Amino acid sequence: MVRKSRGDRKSDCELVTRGFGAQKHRECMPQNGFQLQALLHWLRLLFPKWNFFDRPGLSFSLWTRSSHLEDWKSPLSFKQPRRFGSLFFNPRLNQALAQKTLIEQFCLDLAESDLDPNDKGVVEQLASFRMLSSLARLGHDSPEPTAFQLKIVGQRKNETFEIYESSNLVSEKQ
Amino acid sequence: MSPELAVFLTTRFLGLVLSMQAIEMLWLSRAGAISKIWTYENLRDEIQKAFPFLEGMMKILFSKKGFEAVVILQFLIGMMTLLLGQGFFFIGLFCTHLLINLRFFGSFNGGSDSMVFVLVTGVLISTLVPSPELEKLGLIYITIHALISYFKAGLVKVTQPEWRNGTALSTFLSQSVYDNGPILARLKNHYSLMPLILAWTVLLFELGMPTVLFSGNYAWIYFGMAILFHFSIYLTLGLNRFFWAWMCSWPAILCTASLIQK
Repeated sequence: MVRKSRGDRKSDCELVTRGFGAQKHRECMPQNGFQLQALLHWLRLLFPKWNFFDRPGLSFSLWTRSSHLEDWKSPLSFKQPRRFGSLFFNPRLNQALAQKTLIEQFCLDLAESDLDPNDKGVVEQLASFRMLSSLARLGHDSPEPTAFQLKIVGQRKNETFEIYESSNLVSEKQ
Repeated sequence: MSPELAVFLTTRFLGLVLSMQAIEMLWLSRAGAISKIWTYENLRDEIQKAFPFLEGMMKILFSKKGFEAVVILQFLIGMMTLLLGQGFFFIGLFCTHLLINLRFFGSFNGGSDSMVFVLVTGVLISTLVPSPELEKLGLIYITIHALISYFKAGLVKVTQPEWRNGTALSTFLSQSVYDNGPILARLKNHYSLMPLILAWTVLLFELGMPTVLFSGNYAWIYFGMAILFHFSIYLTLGLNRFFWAWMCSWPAILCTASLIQK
């Protein structure tokens, strides 16, 4: 598995996230008080960019394991079956798309920020990471987990590379 | 298409679409996953940065009962809009749509949510104050945004070699949440030129969209192509919300094309 430089990860992350409309969200060290940029991020739908599927870039996968002594489980799947009537009512698929976007948003946040991916204590305070870990926690199926790890792997054509591996995260199943 | 008919269709259609979306949201809320991922605790820092004086309201929005109240309100207003079509209902729909997206840290479904905001804003311009000029202005507002969305999407695609050589479609089909393996296998084994043809069809359709305003009755042919285009995206990628959001924009586009022809 190849570890890419931050610059390569940044350009790769930008390629795919624009296809799903995810916006850049520069997260700095936590600051107190009102931040206009934070408000604009919440209201970004009011300022559409209309960049749809402009580049077939990376695909991301989310893996989990109960401890560093175990193998990584199969990546979380977002595949959905085709259902009759889904043109009118398709909540599971729309939820899967929203969950998939969480992975891309975290990758973009990581690439865009000045944070060192090895500084897990800071990286794992990002809102996008917290949501991602909640997603991973939901998908992590283990009989007696007390903690788990997640990692994000990027793939482009025949190249696979690790984007982020977390510290031990607390599982709700204790 | 006359402005009156375009406004009538857009208001009714949009009310129905937002009611349908509300039902989806209610289902998702009851299913439970969204209350474990998009939580107040996960987003507390971002809420405090953006809404330092509205934390109380945001706590209510992030509660299950609070969120479902907003969703049910959107459904009810949407249904009333479908029946009565009154412009001031769209003030409520603008607020509920905004609140629902805030619940998801700004966006649930991306581009389709943006287009709904465009539609609601355009309808508000057209209907809040009775005026023939404002009625047309709101429709033109929707038209401009819709045509820009098509054209810009085509413009950024045509600069990418993967789109020009036809490999982009296969990539996106393989990354879809639907299993498009059989489609991809058939394209590869029997219709190897089809990805290239389809890619250029998409590019020409999107880039050529601004010409719909000057095409007279041929605008209806563009409308037919748009139905096929968005329906194909729904079939292969599952994007049902995109289909309905962009379909809602077409009465405005057809009306604007008629106005220009006159």
